[in-house]
Amino acid sequence: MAPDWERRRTALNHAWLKNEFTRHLRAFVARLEAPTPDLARLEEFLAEDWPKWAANGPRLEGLLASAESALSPRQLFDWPPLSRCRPETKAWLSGIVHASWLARTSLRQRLARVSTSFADADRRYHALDARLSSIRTCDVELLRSETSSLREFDAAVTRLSDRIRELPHGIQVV
Amino acid sequence: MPSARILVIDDQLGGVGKEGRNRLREDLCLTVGLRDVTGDATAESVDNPIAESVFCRGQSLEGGYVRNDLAGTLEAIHKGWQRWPRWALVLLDMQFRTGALGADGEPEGYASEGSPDTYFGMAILEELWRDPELRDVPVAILSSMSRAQIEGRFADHGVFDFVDKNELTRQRLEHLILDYGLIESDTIIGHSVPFLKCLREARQRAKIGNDNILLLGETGTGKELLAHYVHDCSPRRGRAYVTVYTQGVPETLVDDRLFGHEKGAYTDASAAQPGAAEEADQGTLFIDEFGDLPASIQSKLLRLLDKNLRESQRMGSRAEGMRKLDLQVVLATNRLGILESEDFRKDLLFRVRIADAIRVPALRERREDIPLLVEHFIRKAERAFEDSLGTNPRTVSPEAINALCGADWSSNVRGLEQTIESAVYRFPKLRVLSAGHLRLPEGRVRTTATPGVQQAAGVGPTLPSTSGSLSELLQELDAFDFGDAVGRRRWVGKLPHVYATFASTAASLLRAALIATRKPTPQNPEGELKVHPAVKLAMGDERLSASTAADVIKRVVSIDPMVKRQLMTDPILREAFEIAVRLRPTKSPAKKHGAR
Repeated sequence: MAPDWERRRTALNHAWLKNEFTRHLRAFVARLEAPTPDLARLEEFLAEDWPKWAANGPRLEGLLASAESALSPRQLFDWPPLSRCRPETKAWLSGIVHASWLARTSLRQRLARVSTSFADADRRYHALDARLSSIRTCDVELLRSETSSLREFDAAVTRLSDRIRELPHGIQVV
Repeated sequence: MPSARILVIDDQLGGVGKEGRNRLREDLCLTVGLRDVTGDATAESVDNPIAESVFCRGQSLEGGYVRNDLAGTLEAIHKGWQRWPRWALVLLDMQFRTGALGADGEPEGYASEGSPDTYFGMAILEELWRDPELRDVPVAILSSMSRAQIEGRFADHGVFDFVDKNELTRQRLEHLILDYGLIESDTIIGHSVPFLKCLREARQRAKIGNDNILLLGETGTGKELLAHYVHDCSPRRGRAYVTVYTQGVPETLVDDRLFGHEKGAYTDASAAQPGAAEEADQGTLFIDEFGDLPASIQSKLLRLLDKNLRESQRMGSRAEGMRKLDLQVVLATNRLGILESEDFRKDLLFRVRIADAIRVPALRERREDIPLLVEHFIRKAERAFEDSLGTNPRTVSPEAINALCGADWSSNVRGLEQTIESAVYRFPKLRVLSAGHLRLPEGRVRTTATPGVQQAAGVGPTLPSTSGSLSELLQELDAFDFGDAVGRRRWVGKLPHVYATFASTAASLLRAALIATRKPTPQNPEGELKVHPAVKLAMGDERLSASTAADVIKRVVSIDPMVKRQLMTDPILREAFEIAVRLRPTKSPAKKHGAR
């Protein structure tokens, strides 16, 4: 399960959130602050990139929700050689392995921090989205009034991305 | 900042979408100040860019599958590294997604790609490190992966830095290029790799701001210019820059110049005088020919070079008269083996961190820079000449550039400058300087010019010596030895090229002579072509008859039919040829050339 989770994390956090979304967001702010903003490109961001948060946000939440089960060494009991253990041994041993892994990695605390970061970014997004959707793109001055909020949102997204990256990579036994 | 060209190898930034755009690349260029010159996509104009950039995906797409393309990526790196403008810096991504294209047009990726063991970026890095020709390519990792995961691996492969994609800003990129990039200087001519590496080292050391920086290099390599470059790149730029020359200066005068004196320190010391070290306070002190410092000064210099002390004592002052200074010290010497010499204090050498001395490359190590330096020195000499003869601007023929690139420059850049300056002064009316006009140093070497040199000179492969007069050149063509039958076979396919090169070389010599002997008249202020005197000058034969001169022109122009067409586009050569044909309408008695 971990390889699949790892692939999803790469696609969501590495490829989309960090490499794409934040870069587009920063370029949007930079274009907004240019003496003569390129309206077509501003429009392009608002139409294509901005809404992706709404679509990918739940996928990110799903990723976080499945992290514990996907990364736990308990899964090793599903594959040889540990899968050959007697069912009654597996039942108690896998529980201990999982509990000790949780204690050692502080995963739940780390996941809680990631969730807090996600909630913060998501709240900022929806607040901004409500305001941006009421502004016509050609009204650059009104859009410009949101630049500081957009920057704060960028910082919140970066924090979230960094915290997701810090989660364990693959199933760690030791 | 001087112009720089960087290569970005990244799967997401390298590709181009269906509409001929890569929005992610556009946004990166805009936010960090890059001008996209890849040429595969419509690029948005970026105000005040700090560098040009070429983007490379490092992958190929076949049958709906994306695969990493190591050979293609290395070829792209190689192509932009061989000649100027070469990569100032390569920004390399680590993780490249491959596999079948998904509905969103992106490769699905494999789970195994999440492991640093399989990062494609590492594979590229390993190849760069393995290839001696590419080992000097400055690489910084540009990735959104965790640095800790791969740090231990890339550290062994000459990588300079790791940049989180999210943290790449205009300022960060500027620092990366200045700190690790191979970039030209605005003040010193050269763009060969050894020279650019030397500049980079100078910038890195200058950044410290209060270091003792030793420049080691043969005489005439430009240590003084480099010392000033260090000052300009340091935080002390704009403050005092004081030079002390020590070579051939008596010991007491060196002491006085460096440290100054108090009133009455010696008979003529009528007033107190600060030394160069004090004058350089807050700025940079440059001590030239540091290796020639007498023993007494060496011991006095110890306290000045101790970064924790930085003290200077004037002649005639008491011990409590020590002055605390805040400066950067640059020292230069051509004594490359100074560490082994018996007459120099070892503690002083360690204080100037001799092990970290910046080696200034000799001209023979940076032959690629010769055409550029020649151009610079010609313009410099012309400025000094003030063009009283109306000859500016001059050029140097390709064969002369080739000869200059192959010469043994033990006198280094200074020697090259003198050679060019002398040619300009000795032949004030020549617009084209040929090999015969140059006083090349003794012990000329016949190396094949490097690709960079050939590109800069705009010439093909190096031919046998052609530094003499037109007469010698034609004799050489007559006597061209193809060796035995095997040798002849080997040359057969190359003969047209040999003839073409001989023809171009001979024609440029002839052209220069035609220009030099032109006589201005009221009707023709440019000057009327005088074929006979021109050929006499070019052949170095005062007794040459007018008819032979005409034959020589016909022969030179007709050596190679392909080149003839090209030469006939030059108005001077065409006019000379027409005059020659009028003078000697019959077929030229010149020898038929070919394999003997």
